[in-house]
Amino acid sequence: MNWSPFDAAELQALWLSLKVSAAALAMTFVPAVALGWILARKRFRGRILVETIVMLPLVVPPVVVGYLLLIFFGRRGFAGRLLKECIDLDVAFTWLGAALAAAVVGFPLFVRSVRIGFSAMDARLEGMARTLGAGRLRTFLAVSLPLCLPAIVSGAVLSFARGFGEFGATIMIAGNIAGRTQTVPLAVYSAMESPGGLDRAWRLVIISIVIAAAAMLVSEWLSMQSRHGQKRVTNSSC
Amino acid sequence: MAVDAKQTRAETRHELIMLEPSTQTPLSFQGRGQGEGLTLRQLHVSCGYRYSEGFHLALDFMASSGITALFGPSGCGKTTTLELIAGLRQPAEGSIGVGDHALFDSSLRINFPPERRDVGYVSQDDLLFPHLTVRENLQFGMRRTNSPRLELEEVASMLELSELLERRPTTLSGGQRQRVALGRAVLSGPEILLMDEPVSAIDERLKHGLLIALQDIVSRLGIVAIFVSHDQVDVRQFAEHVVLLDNGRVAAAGPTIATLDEAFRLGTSSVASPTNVVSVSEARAADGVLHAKLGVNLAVLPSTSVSARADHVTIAFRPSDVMLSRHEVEGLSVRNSWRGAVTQIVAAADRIFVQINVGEMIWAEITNEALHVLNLRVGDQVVCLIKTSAIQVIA
Repeated sequence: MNWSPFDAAELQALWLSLKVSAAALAMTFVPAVALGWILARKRFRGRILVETIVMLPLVVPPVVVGYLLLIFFGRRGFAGRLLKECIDLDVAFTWLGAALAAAVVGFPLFVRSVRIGFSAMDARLEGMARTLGAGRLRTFLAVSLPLCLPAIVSGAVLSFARGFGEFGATIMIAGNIAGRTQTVPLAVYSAMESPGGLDRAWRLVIISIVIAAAAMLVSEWLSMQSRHGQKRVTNSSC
Repeated sequence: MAVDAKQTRAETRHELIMLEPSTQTPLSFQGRGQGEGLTLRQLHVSCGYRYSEGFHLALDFMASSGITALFGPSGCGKTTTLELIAGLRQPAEGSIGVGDHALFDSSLRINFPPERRDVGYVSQDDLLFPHLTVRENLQFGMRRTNSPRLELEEVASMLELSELLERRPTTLSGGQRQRVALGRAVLSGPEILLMDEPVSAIDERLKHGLLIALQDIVSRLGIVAIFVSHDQVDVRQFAEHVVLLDNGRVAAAGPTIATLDEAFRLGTSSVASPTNVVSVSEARAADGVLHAKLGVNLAVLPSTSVSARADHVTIAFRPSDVMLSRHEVEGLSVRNSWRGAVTQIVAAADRIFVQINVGEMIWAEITNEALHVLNLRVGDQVVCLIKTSAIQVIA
């Protein structure tokens, strides 16, 4: 592998991190869009409670999130036992556990972005679609979703990036098993501890920064697009 | 007289003013041919709605095929009324229906969602879908109807949108956007067309052509059209019937001109003053102006492009631009000098409005002092003097 500055173990960590983040995104996409829409559109009892619970992983130490996940999804945890018995699936100390950790910490960012997107959209456009004969589903798919697509993609990118960098919760539920659950951040930690691992740490740090910066740029650009679009709409309707 | 008017207002505010006792339903179009064997539709609205601020809207009116105007001061509930009919808001109680088909009925627990009400709604700000082209916007509601009664191309050319079909709404002017919104609603094949100030952003030149196109569409489809307007000239010219809203209640309803004049006479606050919209006949160009007949009188009108083709011309002018004289006056530059008899005199606050029959009923606003000096009484012959430039030829 002359073309690559990374050795096999580093590439493995990188690949695992991408896989974990992508799986986390797949898990959270539908619930995040749905919850974002509900929080933007619906007024119901206990809304603040729901919002608080959803946003909690943003402020709670990731280690705490990981601990709770381990209690719940571990071999003796309620969900862990259920999954093992029903579909013979291990979550704790597998890459799925890392994906679950990434999903939980990325979820609030995703929901937040989607909610802001739906709030910024003129809800009366949905009413207008209904008077034109579109039912709830067609209204959502043909009007709400396309209009909020920039916000949704931006939320997805942010939560992907957050999942990519996840450390505390991951090490709790998935451990730090090289080649199996050792994502890039865990690999950096391990490299720092092993003698002569500084070069490896540097390479992984740089690739992490590049991926995170790219995600932020994409997210910013999309939210700019979205704001620009909304502004043009309101301007010309005056 | 002012006192009389106020007393009557208190009595009449909460009920329909029946102007034609012979007609059972004040807003029905009985005997009006809709052609092509279309059945007459009748919308009835009889419901209450409570705003969160405590304001209460109590509606009770009917509207038949044709154009009905919803007229009243801002904040009287006009837009809410349209939203209730469209199903975008839910009444607290009562019923809304077309013929014997209920759209909403609180006692029967019926509440059809907007998509199943067959209404076309044109809101005050056009609410076009910004991510779709003009053509896609126009097509959005078309799949509701299995047999479209209007073609997209036809509507587009009527509303002068043919050149804009592939553009995005964000690149259009306010007037263009409003026309797209109108076309989109019409193309969805509605039974009821609801329009909230549909021509407010459209410039004068296009406005009347557009309203005439709208009249044509409404009568061809035989649908019920309700338009909200604050412009009495538009209402008088284009609505066959009017529903006056005042402070959340139906103050009066009936044929447009008679209802507006009567409501004004009774001191309904939504019609603070009347305005003149009359039609003249046999218009022909002469010496840079337009001559036309108004009863036995000759009307001298400013020459405009609309008038060139029209035999019948609609004109509008303000009552304050009408001067009254007891005698014919010689040597004036004012070219309109119409004879007629005073039919009623109404005091509204500190203003006096005199109605004169000059072939059509027109209103003149004069001061209280002038009324006394001229010693005007109902039945007196007067001469109405109006400068040509004070008259607007509107269609």
